[in-house]
Amino acid sequence: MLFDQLPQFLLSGLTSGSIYALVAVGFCIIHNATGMVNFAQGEFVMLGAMIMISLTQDLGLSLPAAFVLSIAGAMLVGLFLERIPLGLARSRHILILVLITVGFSIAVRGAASLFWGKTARALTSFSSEAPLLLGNAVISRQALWILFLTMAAVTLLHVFFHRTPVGQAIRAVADNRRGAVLVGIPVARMVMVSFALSAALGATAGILIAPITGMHYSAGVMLGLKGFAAAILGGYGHVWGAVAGGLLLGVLESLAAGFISSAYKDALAFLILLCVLWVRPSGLFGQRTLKRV
Amino acid sequence: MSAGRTAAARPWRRLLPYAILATAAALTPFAVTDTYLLSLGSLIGLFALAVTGLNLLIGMAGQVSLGQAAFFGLGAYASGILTVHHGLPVGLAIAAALTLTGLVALVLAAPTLKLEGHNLVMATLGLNMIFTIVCIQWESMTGGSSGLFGIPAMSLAGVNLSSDRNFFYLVWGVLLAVLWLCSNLLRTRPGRALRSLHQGDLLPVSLGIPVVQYKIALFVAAALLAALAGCLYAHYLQFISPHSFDMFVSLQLVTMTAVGGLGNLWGGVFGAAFLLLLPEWLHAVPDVMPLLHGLILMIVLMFCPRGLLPALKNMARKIWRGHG
Amino acid sequence: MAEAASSLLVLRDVCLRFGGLQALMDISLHVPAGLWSALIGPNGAGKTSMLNVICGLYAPQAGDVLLEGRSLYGVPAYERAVLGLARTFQTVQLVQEMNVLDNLLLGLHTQGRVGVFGHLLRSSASRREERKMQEKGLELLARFSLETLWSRPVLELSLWQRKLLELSRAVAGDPKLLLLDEPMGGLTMAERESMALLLQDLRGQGMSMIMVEHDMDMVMAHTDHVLVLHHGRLLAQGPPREIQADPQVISAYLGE
Ligand SMILES: Nc1ncnc2c1ncn2[C@@H]1O[C@H](COP(=O)(O)OP(=O)(O)OP(=O)(O)O)[C@@H](O)[C@H]1O
Ligand SMILES: [Mg+2]
Repeated sequence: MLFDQLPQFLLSGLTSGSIYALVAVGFCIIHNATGMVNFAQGEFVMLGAMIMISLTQDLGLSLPAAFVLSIAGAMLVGLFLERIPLGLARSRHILILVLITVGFSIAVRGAASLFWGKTARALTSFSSEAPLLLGNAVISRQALWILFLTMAAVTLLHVFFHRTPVGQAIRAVADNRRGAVLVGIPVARMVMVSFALSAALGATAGILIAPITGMHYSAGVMLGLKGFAAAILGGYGHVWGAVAGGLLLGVLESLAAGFISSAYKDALAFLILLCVLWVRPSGLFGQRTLKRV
Repeated sequence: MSAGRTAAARPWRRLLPYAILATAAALTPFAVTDTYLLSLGSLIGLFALAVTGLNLLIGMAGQVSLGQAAFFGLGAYASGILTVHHGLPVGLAIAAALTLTGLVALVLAAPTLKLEGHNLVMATLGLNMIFTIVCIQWESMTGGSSGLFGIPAMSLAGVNLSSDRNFFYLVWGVLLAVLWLCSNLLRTRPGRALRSLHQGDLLPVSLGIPVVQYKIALFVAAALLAALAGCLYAHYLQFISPHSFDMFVSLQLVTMTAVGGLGNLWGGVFGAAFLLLLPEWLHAVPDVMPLLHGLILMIVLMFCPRGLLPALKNMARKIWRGHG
Repeated sequence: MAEAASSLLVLRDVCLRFGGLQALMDISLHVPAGLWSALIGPNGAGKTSMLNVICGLYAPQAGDVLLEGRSLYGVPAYERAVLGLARTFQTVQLVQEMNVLDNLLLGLHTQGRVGVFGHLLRSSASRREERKMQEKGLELLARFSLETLWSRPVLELSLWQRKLLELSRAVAGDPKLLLLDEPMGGLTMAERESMALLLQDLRGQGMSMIMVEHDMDMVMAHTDHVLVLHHGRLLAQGPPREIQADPQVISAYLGE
C-alpha cells in the first residue's frame, strides 16, 4: 500500500531536492572562491522570491521580465555583500568573515520584514494547466518547471565553468589561488563574479519554489541550511557533488516523511547527514586530503 | 634579570578584574531594583558561562561548534524532566543532567571532532537541529513546542536560590569561579598545550601532546559548562521551551564569543553582555530592531575582529596616554 | 641483531606510499647512538617523509621503526615524544599567539607531572612546577642567547631567532634522538656557521642527531655519518669520506 506511493515520494523528493541542489551549488561556488561558508545564502533565496512576487503582483510585470529583474536584484545584493561587509572587513579570519555573513543575513531579514511585512505571500504558478499523471504519481506543472529549470541551470553552469574564459578562470582560482594570481587572473573580480553567480542561483531556487510553498521574510533560513547540508553531503566544494547531495537529501527526506514519520523528517535528514560525515568525514564525493609538514 | 618577573607577574594585576567584577556583581542587586533588569543580568551570567566553554573550544582548539545551545538545552531539559516527571530532588537532578550531558558529549566528541572546518560546523548544527526537533515532537516528555512547565525552584538550607536576587548572586558566583579555574588552566602547562592546538595537529603531536584527547576533553568541558548554565536556567525560570535552545541560540553564542574576542575569557563575558543588552537598547524602535541588530553585529565584526573588549581597552589606553 | 641492539634507531624495510607515489622504498638502516648523522638527497627524495615516519606523523605501509631496540609499531606520535624523539620542521613551527618563553615551554610538556585538576585549582604543586619550568625555560633561552626576548611575541623574531627557538624547544626535553629538518635552510653564511657550532656543542654533550641538509660542505665538514636518499631509496650510508667517494652517490647526486 505504502509502496504504491514510492514513485510519488521520489518525485516530490526530486522536486525539493532540485531546490536544495541549486542552493548547494551556490554554497560551493562561494566556498571555492573564498573558502568560506556564506550564511546569507538563504537570504538570496528569499530575496529572489519576494522581489519576484512584488514585481508580478504589485507592479504587474510579466513573468519573464520579473524573473530577470529579480535575479538581477539578488545579484546586486550578493555583490554588495562581497564588496562592502566582507570587502571592508579588517580581518581575513574565516570565522569572522562567516559571522559577518550571519550578521548580514539578520540585517537582510530585518529589512525584508520591514519592507514586505511578516505574512507569507504566494507566487502564481508559471503555467496554470492541470497536473500531469505519471502512472499513479501526480506531478504538478510547477514541479516540472523546477526539474527542468534546475537541469538547465546546472548544465549552463557546467558549460560556463568549462567553456568560457571567465568560468575557467574561476576554476583556476578555486584550484590554486596563489597560482591564479601569478598567472595574472584578476582574482578579486572572480570572487565578485562568484558571489553574483551564487546569489543568482539562490534567487532562482526561491522563485521556483515560491509558487508551491509561498514565501516570507524568514523562509530563507531553512532552505539555506538544507542547501548547506546538501553541499556538505556531496563533499563541500564539488559542484556536481552538491547537485547529487541536494537530490539525495530531497529524496531521503521525502522517503523519511512518507515511510517513517513526517514530524521527524528534518531530524532524519540531519541524522543521515551526520552518519555520512562520521563514516566519511569528507562527504560522499569529497577527497580525503593528507596533511603535510 | 628582568626575566625574573615572569614567575611572579604581579599577582594583584591578575586579581583586579575579578575584584572589579565581583564588586560590581555584589552591588548590582542594590542598584538595580527592576526585577526584569536583574533577571537580564542573571541571563548574561548564564550565557557568559556557556560562552566561556565555547571560547575555549573555538579560541584554543579552533573548532567551531554550532551545537552549543543543544548542550545548554540538554542540561535544562534533563534536569527539568527529572524533577517534573520523576520527582527527583533538584540537586540530584542537576547532577544527573550534567552526567548525562557529559556522557552524550563524550560519545559525540570522537566522531565529530574528526571533522574539520565547515563539516564540523554542519555536523554540530545538525545535532542542534535534531535536538530541537526532538524537543518539539516528544511531547509526552518535553511538553512539545509549548514547553515544559512547573520545574521546581532551587533552594539550599531553606534559602530560595531561585529568587531574583539570590539567583543573580549564584550565577555570577559560579561564573567568577569558572573564569578563575579556566584562567589558572590557561596559564599553566595544559593551557599552553591547548593554545598550541589550532596550529594544526602536527606540531602539538610531535611535542608529545595527545591532541585528540585534549580536543575531546575540551568538547566535553564546553558541553558541561553549557549544560550547567542550562540547569540553572531551567530551575530559575521554572519553564523551558525548545525555542530557547535552537540553532539561533548556538549562532548567538558563537557571535558572543567572536564579539568579545576569540580566546579571550573576559571578552566572552563582555560579548554575552553586549549581545543581550543590544536588543534592550533597541527596544525603543521595535520594528527596525532586527535590522539594526544585524547591522551592528556586522559593523563590530568588520572593524573589531579581535573583539570589542580589546578594542575598547586599546582606545582607553590611547585616551589615557593622550591626556597623560 | 647485535647491530640492532647497539643502534639507537633502526629502520627495517620501511615503505611509504602516497596514493600512487612511492615516497620511501624498502628503507633499512641503523643509526648509532651519540652520532651526528646527515640525511641528504635531492628535492623530493623523501627526506622529510622519513623524519615523519620516524616520529610517527606518517604511518608506513610496511616495515618497522625501532628506538633502542623497541618497536614503535602502533605507538602514536605523541607517545614517541615521551620515549625521547624530538624534532624541528622544514618551515619553522611556532605558536604565533604565544610569546617566546611559552613557545619554549611547550618543549617541556612531557616533563610535567601535575595533573589538570592540580593546575585548575592552582595547587601549590602546580605553582612549584610552573616556577621550575619557567626557570628551566629561561636557562635554556640563555643557552641559545634568546633570554632578552623571552616576553616578545614570536611574530617579532627574525628567521634566525625562530630557528634558534625551535631548536631550543626541541632540546628542552633532553631527547634521545633529535630530528632536524633543514636547520640551516634560509640562513646566511654566518648564521649557518653559528648553527653548526651549536649543533657541534650538542653532539659534544652526547646528543644523537639526524639532520636533513642540502649544503654538502657543511655535511662533509661536521657530520659523523651520512645517509643518502634518492627517489625514495637508500642509496648509501657511511662516514662522509666514504660517501664522498662512492661512485653511485657521485653519479646520482653529487655529480649532478
Ligand atoms: N602528505 C603528502 N601527501 C602526498 N605526497 C606527499 C606528502 N608528503 C610528501 N609527499 C611526496 O613525497 C615525496 C617526498 O617528499 P619529501 O617532502 O619527503 O621530500 P624531501 O626529500 O623532504 O624534499 P625537499 O628537499 O624538497 O624538502 C615528494 O614527491 C612529495 O611530493
Ligand atoms: Mg623536506
